[in-house]
Order: sequence, then structure tokens, then C-alpha cells
Amino acid sequence: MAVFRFIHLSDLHFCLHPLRRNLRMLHRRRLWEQIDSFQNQARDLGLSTLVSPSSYDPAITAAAARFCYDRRRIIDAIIVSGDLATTGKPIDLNPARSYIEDAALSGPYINSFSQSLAATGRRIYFLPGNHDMYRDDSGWPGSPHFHLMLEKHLPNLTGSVGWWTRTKAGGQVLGCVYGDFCLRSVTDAGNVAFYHGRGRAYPDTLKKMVADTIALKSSHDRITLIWLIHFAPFQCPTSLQLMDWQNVTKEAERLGVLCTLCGHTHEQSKIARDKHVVYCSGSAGSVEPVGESRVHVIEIDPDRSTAQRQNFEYKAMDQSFQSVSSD
Amino acid sequence: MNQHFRNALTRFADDAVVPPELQIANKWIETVVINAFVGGEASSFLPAKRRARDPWDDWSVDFVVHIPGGSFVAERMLEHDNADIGPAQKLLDFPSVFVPSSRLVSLWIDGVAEFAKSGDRKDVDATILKLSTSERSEALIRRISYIVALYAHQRKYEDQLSSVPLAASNRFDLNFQLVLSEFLPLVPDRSDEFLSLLQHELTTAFKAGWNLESEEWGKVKFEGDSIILYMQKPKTFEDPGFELSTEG
Repeated sequence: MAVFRFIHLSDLHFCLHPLRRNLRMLHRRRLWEQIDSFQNQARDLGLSTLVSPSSYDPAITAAAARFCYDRRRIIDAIIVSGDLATTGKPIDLNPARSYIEDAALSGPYINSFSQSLAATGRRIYFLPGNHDMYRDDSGWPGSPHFHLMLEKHLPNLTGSVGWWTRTKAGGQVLGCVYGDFCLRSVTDAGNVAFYHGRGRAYPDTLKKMVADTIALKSSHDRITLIWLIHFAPFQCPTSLQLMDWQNVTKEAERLGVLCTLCGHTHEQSKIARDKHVVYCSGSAGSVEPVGESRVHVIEIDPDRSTAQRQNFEYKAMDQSFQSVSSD
Repeated sequence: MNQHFRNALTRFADDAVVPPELQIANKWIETVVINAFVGGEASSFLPAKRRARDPWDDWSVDFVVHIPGGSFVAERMLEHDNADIGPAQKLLDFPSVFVPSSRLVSLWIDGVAEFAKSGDRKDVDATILKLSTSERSEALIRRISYIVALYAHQRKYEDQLSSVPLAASNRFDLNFQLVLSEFLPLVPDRSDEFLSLLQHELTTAFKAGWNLESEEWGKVKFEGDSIILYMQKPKTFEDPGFELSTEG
């Protein structure tokens, strides 16, 4: 039985400043932790960073790299559904780039503090998330740097949409169409207060995804299709919403796409409707929410047209991801 | 210039005897100089794989803590129960049973004092000089445990070794000695004394029945006249039925 197996990561949030927390996130912590974090960050990084976006925890991203490295022989590829970096500034994108492409020497380690998924020897498929496209810490969209630095890893990309396929020796093909729904302008957010976290299912991007999906179906006899986007195509908090998300799921269902992989919310979830499933990944690196970091192993059986996911939670005590559930 | 290279040249000129440092100096030339110019791979403790790097880059951030007023302190490191060891690995903790002798600490402090006069770490080194005697001792223990853990970690992944010798026949393993010398600022001409004293004191501690055990690292044991790290093998998942797909 040939199965396609992928590790699904999302929202790593690499940054110049590890362990940076945003004021809005601090209120979720216990009072003494708030004071401690506030004091330490203001001292070490400067007061102004408290209004910058939250970044990543190196212990978690290291555990994610080890997780991928340990399973390199049982996976076809690694999929990262966006937000590799905290902002689209080159200085924040650089550790993300390093994590994706730098050669490692010892296991997944480049050196004591840096890891690389490249050590797995597996293809890494990803796309940008809203954070990757921030021009600055204020979250203004439209940074060109993600594409300048990492576009070479995005296969068959035209505009905001691309696709890739994987083929088993038995002839089974898995096709993935990915689309970038990041805001092109602040005014596209609908409400300017939410431009940081919102995306929009732009009709032209969706149309291209549909066209690529149809083209893949017509060019392969035995193909199973999945979609990869950053924003969650379901009802989620207002500030994180993908506007017109219903159009995305409607088209995915109509085209017989097996599942959609996404991230963005930092909360693991699964939404199933008819035969289409949306697998939303937890964060594999962000400092927030504390204690809820997740990585996932997705298994797709092309013969039965089924998808299954195993979820792994980061355990700080062991500094590793451990299996918690499957869905 | 690397202290061992200077040291070796001095001794070589003085007594025309090939000193042990020359071996280290040779390795240093081979690894740092040659690899720097021909472009070595990522940082490694193995000479053949190493390129020039600033060893201080490998220290935990907890060793360099900035505080208001523009000075650096190492205090936080001393308070830290779980000093960050290597790439987010579990702590390989040297228990308090190992207490370095005052001579060993003073040899290290002499080196710190010498190197504190200049260099990127002069603020950190100057702060170490202000520490009390017990704090200095603790700082040295933490540094040595850090180096052991970092060294073991890299050897584990580079060579897939299940055991790494740290010392044999009353001498530190040459690779390990090189790493120790590189990470710890030592006064040229006194590095020999420091290393042999450290080797002796560690061996004595191990002989007394001190076994370091860690779920992540395995065990550190004294056997015969050797100190050996027995490490757990990296875990690799296998699925014999899995068949890798190809792109396209």
C-alpha cells in the first residue's frame, strides 16, 4: 500500500529576537509572568519591542527540526503552511531561510543554536503567511523580501499560486496547489484595525487555484489533490479571518480536493464537510500560545482517497514533540 | 593568534623539543587557517570538518546578559538551574561533588584576566573577575560541563558514536583538549598545567564513583584510566514498507 506521508509545520515565526512577546499576548500569562516578561524584554530588547509581533522559541523550533530529522526516512516531504518569519524584514527572514536551506553538519544542527530542515534530505514545500509579508514590525503588508529570498523554493509559482506533484513508483500521484491570500493592501482588510491578521480570498488567486487544480486533474489519471494555504478557511476570530473563506472551501469541495492544509490560528483543528477536510496546524515555533505548540504527520492514502493526521504536542520538560492524538 | 600556536612556537624556539602544544597548533593551522580560506563546512569540533569560527558564538546566551548601565554580568548564568546546553538539549549537569581546586580556578582566572584586557568578551571577562571565589568555582564547573556536553553532542551526531573518550592514559583526548583550550581562556605556558590538573581532578572525581547520567546524553563513566561518554543513539524512525515518492 503506497501512502504519501508528510510532516506539516506552520507558524514558526523566526525572528532576529527569539522569545520576543507582544503586550497583547502578555495578558494571557499569569501576573508574575507578565511582570517578569515585561521587565526582561524591556531590559534586553528595548521597550518598543513590546508592541512588535511575538516571535519564536528556539527550543521549540529545535525540537521541530529534530522531529523532522528523526522521521526523515518515513516521510515524502515537509510542508510548512506559512509564517516562517515574524516579519518580512530580511533580518527576520534570514533565520527562516537558514532553517529551510542551510546545510547542517551534525544531525539537524548547523551549530549550537541553529538547526536546518535541509538535513532531512527531504523536499520542503512552503508558502508565505501574513507575517512573512509584513514590511515592518507594525505589520504593514507588502514586503517583497520573502519572494526575493525564498521564491526559488516555491515550485511552479505564477503570481500568488503554484503547484507541485509527488509520484509513487506504483503511479499514484499526489498534487498540491498552493495559494497566497495575504493582504495586498491595508484597505483590503475590510476593517483597518485588523490588517495584521486578516487575509482575503482574492478572486483572481482563487480562480488561478481552481484552474491549476483542473489542469492537474486533466493531466494525470490517478491523482489525489490537496490544497495548501496559510489562512484558515473557516470561522475564526475576527482579527484572524480569511475574508470570503466560504468561496475557498466551496471550490475545494466542488473540485474534489481531498483536504486543505493551513495554519495561522496557532490552534490545531480539523473541520470536515462532506468529503473535504481542513487540517489546521498549530504553531511549531511561536512563543504564543504557551504550551500548545504542535507538529503533525499527515498520511494520505491515494487508493482509498483518505487522509489521516497524527498530532504531536511540544512538551517543554522533554523538549520534544510527543504524540497526543490523531484525527 | 591562537594561544596554543604562540605557545608552541615559543617552546619550540626555547628548547627545540616538539611540545604537545605543537600537535594542537598543527591542528589549529589545519582547521582554522586552511578551512577558513578554502571554505570549511559548518562549525564542527572535528578538525577536518571545521571552519574558522568564533568559539564564543557557541556559548549560551545566558553567559552574556546585558543589564542597564551598559555592563555585562555572568550572574544570571550562576543562578540558572538549567544553563542552556548545546542546541536546546537537556542539561548534562556536573553535580556539586566536583569542586575544582583553588589552583585550577586560579589558572583559569589568570587566563580570563589576561584576555579581559582586550577582545569582544572583555566586559564579560571583567565581570567574572569581580565574582567571589565560590562563584568563580561554580562558573568554571558550568563552563566545563557545557564544553563536555557540546563536544559530546557534536561527536554523537557527526560520527554516530555511541561512546566518546574524553581522557585516556592520564591525558585528555586530543580533540577534546583542543576544544577545552579553545573555549577557556588560558595563559600561554600555563595551559599544560591547567589541562593536566583538570584531567587529574576530573579523574579523581570519577574514580570516587561519580557517574553522570542523563536521559539525553547517556552516561559518563570512568573505566580503567579513561573517562568515557556513553551516549544514547539518535532515534531514527523506520518504516520498511514506506516507499519514497519522487517529485513531479
